[in-house]
Amino acid sequence: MNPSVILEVKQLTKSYPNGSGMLTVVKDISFQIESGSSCAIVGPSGSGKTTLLGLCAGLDQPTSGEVHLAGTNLGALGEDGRAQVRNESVGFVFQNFQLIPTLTAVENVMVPLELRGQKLVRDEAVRLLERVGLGQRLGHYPSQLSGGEQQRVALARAFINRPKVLFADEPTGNLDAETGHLVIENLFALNASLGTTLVLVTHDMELARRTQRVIRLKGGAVVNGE
Amino acid sequence: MSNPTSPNLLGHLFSSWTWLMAWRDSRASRRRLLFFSCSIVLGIAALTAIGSLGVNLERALEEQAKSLLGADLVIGSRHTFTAEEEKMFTEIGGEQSREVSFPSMIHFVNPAGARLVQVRALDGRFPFYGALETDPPTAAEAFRKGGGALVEQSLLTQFNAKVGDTIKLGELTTRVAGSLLKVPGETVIFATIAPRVYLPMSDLPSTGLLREGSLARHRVSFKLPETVDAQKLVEKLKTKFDENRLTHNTVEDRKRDLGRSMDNLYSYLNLVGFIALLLGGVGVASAIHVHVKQKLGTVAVLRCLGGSIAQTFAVYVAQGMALGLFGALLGAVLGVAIQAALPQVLADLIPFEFEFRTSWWAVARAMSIGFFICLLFALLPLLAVRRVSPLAAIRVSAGSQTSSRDPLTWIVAGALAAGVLGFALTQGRDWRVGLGFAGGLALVFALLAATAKGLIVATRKFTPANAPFTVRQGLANLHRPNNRTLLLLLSLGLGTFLMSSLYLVQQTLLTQLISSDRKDQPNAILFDIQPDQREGVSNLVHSLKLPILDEAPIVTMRLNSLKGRTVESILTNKNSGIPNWTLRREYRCTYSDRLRDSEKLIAGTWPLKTNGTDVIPISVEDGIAKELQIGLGDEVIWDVQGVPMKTRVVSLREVDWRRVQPNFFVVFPPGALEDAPSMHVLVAREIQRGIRTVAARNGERIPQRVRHRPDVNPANARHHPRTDRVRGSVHGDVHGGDRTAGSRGRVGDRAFPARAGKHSAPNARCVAPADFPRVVRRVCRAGIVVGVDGWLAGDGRGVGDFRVRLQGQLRANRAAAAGRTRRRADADRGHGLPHEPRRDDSSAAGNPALRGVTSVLPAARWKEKPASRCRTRGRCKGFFADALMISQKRDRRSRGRSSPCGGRGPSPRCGPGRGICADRIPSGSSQTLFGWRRSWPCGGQYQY
Repeated sequence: MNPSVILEVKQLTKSYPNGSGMLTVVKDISFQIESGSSCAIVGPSGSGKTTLLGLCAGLDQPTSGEVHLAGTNLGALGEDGRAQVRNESVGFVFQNFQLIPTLTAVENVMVPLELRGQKLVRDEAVRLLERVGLGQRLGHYPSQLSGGEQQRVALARAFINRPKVLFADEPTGNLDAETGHLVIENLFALNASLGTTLVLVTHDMELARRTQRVIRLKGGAVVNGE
Repeated sequence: MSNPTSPNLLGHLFSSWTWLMAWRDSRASRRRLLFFSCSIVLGIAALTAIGSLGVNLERALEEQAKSLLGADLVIGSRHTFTAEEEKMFTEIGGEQSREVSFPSMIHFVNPAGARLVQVRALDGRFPFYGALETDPPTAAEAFRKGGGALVEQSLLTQFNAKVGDTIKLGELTTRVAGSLLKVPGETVIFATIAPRVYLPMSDLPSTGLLREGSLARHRVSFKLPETVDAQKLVEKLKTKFDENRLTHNTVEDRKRDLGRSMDNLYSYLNLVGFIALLLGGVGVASAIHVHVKQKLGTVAVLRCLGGSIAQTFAVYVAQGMALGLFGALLGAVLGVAIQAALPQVLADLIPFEFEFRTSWWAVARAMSIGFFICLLFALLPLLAVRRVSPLAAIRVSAGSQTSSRDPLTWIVAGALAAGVLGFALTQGRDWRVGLGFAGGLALVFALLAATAKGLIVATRKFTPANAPFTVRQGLANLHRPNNRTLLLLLSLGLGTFLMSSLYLVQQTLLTQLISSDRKDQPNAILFDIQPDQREGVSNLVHSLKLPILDEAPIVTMRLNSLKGRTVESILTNKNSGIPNWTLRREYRCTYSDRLRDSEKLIAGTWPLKTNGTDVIPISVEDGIAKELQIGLGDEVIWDVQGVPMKTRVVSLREVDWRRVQPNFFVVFPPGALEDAPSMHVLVAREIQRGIRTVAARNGERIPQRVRHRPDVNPANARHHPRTDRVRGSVHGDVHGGDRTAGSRGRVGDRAFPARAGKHSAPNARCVAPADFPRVVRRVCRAGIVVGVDGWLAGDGRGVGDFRVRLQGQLRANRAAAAGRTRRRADADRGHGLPHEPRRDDSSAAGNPALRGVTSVLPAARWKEKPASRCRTRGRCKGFFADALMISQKRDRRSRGRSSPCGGRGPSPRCGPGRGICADRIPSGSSQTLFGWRRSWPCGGQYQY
């Protein structure tokens, strides 16, 4: 694998049992994404975007094909092995933020590093929260934050482990345009400053156009990779 | 997908982050989790309290064993000790104390009154351990020096007598030296049946009550040198004891008997407590199930962010552990608090004093059991955490695998089953009981689970499509994904099962024990009615307009041989498999041509008919037949008061011994025993009304309390100094002879030793109907209270209810303790809890060795028998006569009168203060009636 390629997908297929047969959601997809680049995966609902994201991030296992993330063949790893890869190399931003509701903003941000067993990570978490403009909301719980603020907390959490790849699943899907814009600005700023590869799943073509590459999916297959 | 054997769980549980994360994660649900941890609190509290109780009882038994017996060794006999026996006693050595006890009447001179009592003539320093408690305290020693008699305090209260008053015992006039408060190792139940009166042995001859052949119990108590092991001594002398038919009792015997009784109580409460804990566990599982469902998103996020399976699982296991630990701690604290109340709650059941000290071992044990049961139940739903896919963070539908495919689910379920089985097996002496308990629980679990599955399928398939929206939606919730049908049905069903089981057990026991409350059931048995008294007693009962529900003649006899083997030869064969008590006991048989309600013919023929041959056909109760290893067609030779009688078993009956009516092991046909010395038993109802009638007729007053609560002993209620204390009461040496209070004149006969073992508990039998219901209620209620908690816990209801319930129970217990005016349950020899009827081997009487067996109908032979051989000579009194106390003057008139059986000569029981024949009954006084009523408050349940 080319050392500059951070993510390589080879003939990736994912099927689910569906009644008497199998429903193929992702069909024989292959592509590569270079380190530090940004890529958007777009397509209509049900086209397999989120499934592809999950496979690329090692959240799920393909029916066939391979995913190489940061030089590691995810298919060769077990659940915990993939978790370790995610912890070390991957950051996530979700459409619905997915903050842990019982943790404060700063605690949410600290989680990825704490999962590694690192201690004394609060300062780093505070620094990142200040960077996304939430330095005054450290002790607030998600329920005490607005959607945009929650997503910015999620951004800080996604970047705290300095991931090689950041997967963002509809990061503005639950935000209004203005807030979404702010979040995206934060996202790209962090991405640029930390040299993280960005993989976006979005319906928002305007957002997709801000990335260096767009992969269009339809019916589970790539119809156009720019 | 998941790695079910992740090796890192333990390591993660030692990680500070795991606990920190568990703490953080629980923020929103901490109160709810702690609330649900209360599900197990009362179960653990019960185990803690009961465990401590067990330890305390064991320790008290150990510490007080000697004082429970009062001596190192007690040897008893129904006959005066022979020279050979005296020689043996001398060889045994140590300090000795003699006691002769027998039933008789006490007369209070002013105010006048009489009452059946148990007279005990004492010589020596008995008790060597513990002390007779008296008021004044000096009386315990003063009376030994001829300073009067010690009289049961309740008796003094009953007759408004006081220390210094004059009493008469037979021909002895003496004074009350002091009131007797407590005798080591004896329950106050003695006071209710036959109050104790202690005399110095030197005064015994003056009473004139003991004459040749009188029925009395002789005891010699030993204080052995410290170097002598009583148990080894008994083993060494056992053959001699058996040969001489001496009973023996050591501290170890007493401990064993009491320990067995306590074990029953302990095991029952423990099992109920454990079930409560299991129900609490189901409640915890239900709560954790909901908790985990709510946490699946968080788990998915943690997994998404790089948490390993073990790491995320450890977070929630830590929560489960904390929950269990909190519940265990709270339960332990509550349990320790409950301990303070237990002595009062169980005072009726515990036959000795014990100081309640917290047993930290019991606390730790209960906490451990509670913690692990809680954890195991929590693990069942928690295992779902391991199966959560990180994909669920971006796709809700990702969910988790079904639990049935997870091998750990089966391992945890297996561990739970093993835990239940292990606990059950450790609770009973019989592993089969434990296995049955665990199997029963498993069966109930399986049935409930199957019902839940059936309900799910049924609602899915059979909900009408045109049903109203609410009905369809409501029913659909029973089968929709993530439904809680199974858990709820398990918790509700198991709780209901427990509650209904405990309630049914209580009701069943009470129904059996207090059947006398039914209007068609007898509540009084008058026995020891001599043939010439029979008509008078019947007339009296009829005159009181009381129904006579049953009558039966009773002829006492002993076994001589079984299937051609003499009793002696069987007794010497240790491998015979026939219990000694069945061979040695005195059988009280009847003759009848009808089956009673309590009897059912299960084999052979009925009615019995003498066929003119020498062999009398008999019917034997199935249980005793099994014990004796006899069946249809087997030959049994009886020693009917000196006359051998050859019989053959022609029918087997099943007898419901719980019925308050005369029941018999052996029934003879009419025509076989009519001429044998006999007594009659009469069964009636509403005797209390009759007593009041007699009392009213005599213009005397019955205390109000008695009128309304015939089973309450007002003397004890008002004045007994220890009604509000943890009381010690053990052991009963009052045997059948005392119970019947009848004189069985025996001249030159050697009495069989009364059994002091488990089969000898006549007092319990007569006390049972009155006291067992209270005991049963108390114990069952304790179980039900604990069970209710588990039930509600399983149902996820409020801890407030637990508190209220517990408070209510504690209040009830306090009230019960404060108002404890009733007789104590006879916890002696395992009667703290209801058991199957015990066979009464109490009434030992003389029996000459048979020189040979002749095959003639015995009537003529009895008539021919010299008076000296007649064991029932002089039995011209009975309880009824005692109860309906006749004047002393009339008593005297009965002295020397022919005994009903034809025996001649002075009756040993017809001296002053003794009973009299029933034809003089109407002159009875109410006080004596009351006393009689006190003696037999239960309505009686006897086994002949």
